Amino acid sequence: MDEELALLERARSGDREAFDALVGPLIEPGYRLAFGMLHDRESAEDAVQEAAFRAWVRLENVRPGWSMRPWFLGIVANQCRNTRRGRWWSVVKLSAPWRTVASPEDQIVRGADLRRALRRLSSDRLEALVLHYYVGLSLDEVAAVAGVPTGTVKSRIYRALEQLRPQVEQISEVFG
Amino acid sequence: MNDDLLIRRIAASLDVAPLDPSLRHRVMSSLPLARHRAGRINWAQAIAVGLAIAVIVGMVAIGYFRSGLRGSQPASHPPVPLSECRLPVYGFGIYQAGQQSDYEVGFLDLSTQIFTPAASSTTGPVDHLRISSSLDGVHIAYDRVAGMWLPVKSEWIANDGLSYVYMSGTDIHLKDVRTGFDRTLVRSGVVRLLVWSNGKVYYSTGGGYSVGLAEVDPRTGKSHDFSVPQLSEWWIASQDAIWGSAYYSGHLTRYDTSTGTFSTWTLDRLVDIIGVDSSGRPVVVQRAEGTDHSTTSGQVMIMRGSGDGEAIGGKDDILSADTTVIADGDRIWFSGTGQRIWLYSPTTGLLLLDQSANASLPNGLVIAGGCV
Repeated sequence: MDEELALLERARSGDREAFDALVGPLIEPGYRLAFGMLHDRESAEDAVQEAAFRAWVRLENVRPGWSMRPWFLGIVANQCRNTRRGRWWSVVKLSAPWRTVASPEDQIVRGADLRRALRRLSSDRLEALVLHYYVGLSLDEVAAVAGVPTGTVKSRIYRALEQLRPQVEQISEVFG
Repeated sequence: MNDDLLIRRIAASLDVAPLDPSLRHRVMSSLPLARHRAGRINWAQAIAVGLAIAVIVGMVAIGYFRSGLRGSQPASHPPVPLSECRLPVYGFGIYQAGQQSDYEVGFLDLSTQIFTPAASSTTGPVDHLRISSSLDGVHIAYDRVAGMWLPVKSEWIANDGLSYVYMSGTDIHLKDVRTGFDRTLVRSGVVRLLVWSNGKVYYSTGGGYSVGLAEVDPRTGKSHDFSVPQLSEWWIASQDAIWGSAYYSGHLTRYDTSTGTFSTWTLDRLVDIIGVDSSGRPVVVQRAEGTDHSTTSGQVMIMRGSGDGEAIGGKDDILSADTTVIADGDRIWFSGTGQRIWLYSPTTGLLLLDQSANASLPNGLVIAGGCV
């Protein structure tokens, strides 16, 4: 913690190496979170890049006792929520004819259908699901990222799974 | 289907686009040299700029700007209709690895959307301002009285526009705009310079969660430490009042610089103060509900009194800390990220003036003053 604090002070004074040491290791989980929410590599990379930029200019927001990981992932999640909200063009992408791919390899098609089902989740539920099961954060960490109580996270995840279950079962019936 | 299988399938469906190993390097190398805003251009912003221009043009057409914005600006700064507004702004050149960038100052004509760099004769002190690694960041304000660009926050400039104060280390310096004469006003111990108000310069002292308030008379150099009613982090000041708050307290402490009295506003929510309007009322961002309150809800409010706030809109990129808030008569300007400017007035509500597609502007657009 002391080391992180020292790095934070250096980063606040404009030391980019210190910022890299703090945030660099969070790029990978940040990308996983962004891809999990946006399902598009380019958009996910953009979200992480924008989040890193925002983190860089807003280091004063990190207060004593805070951990960088939930703080940074919170910025990534917020960026993804904004992207999802403003993504009118995603309608075009969603209507892409997944089923008419010339040689649909089962796993990819199944994944595509699942991702399509995931897109229908609210940002709050999707974020909780992705952070917990895909990025690998504990429920408490997810709560810190989302800024809600742990109980709320549990509820969001439960509801997300219940919302997805019928669709996943349907996909399983088709593809086995 | 049991939960384990369901979760494995969900995770597998996402595990199809592994991280590009170069992403970390690309992200880090794209950051500006200074910890300052820089532009981001995307489709949504490019479209939004068109909408913003349409809003401005439409409002000009219905004659709104001439009739609706008579406000509380001081007599020395009569309100400028938005249709005639030249907004003082600044930004910096394109980041190049290992190189310093100079700041560029000038005026954005809101009608034509054209940025005109300031004449060099008006940018004397700013000429010396390079991107610095100062903890307190870079400040540039347009001094309307003197017609000069000064390397300080607007609230550090005297009402007559002829002098300003600034921080050097933990000292406060006083500088004459015309002669450049510079003297040390307070030696050491200053944490943050707040405001030049009613003939006194206010600043904070101490550190951590226990930040005090002090004043110095620029004529005599005599300073005075206040006994504040509660531990606070003082960080926002208007011409008439200084606002402080203890972390997560739900209270705002107000020091009235005219009467020299403290009062407390109790709130039913946790907020961050990001600025003040022309009447000196705090502009706040509400924190999200949750255990650690580490995120903001994006809901911006103007506090009208104890427990009384008026919501003016919810925008995620109007956040605390680095948002520049400029009161300009009835209007409030917010410098957002990504070349975006937000404008609030009681009649229009919150409007986005997206400049991300405006190639004439410098990067990292920040507002340096009200309309001229």
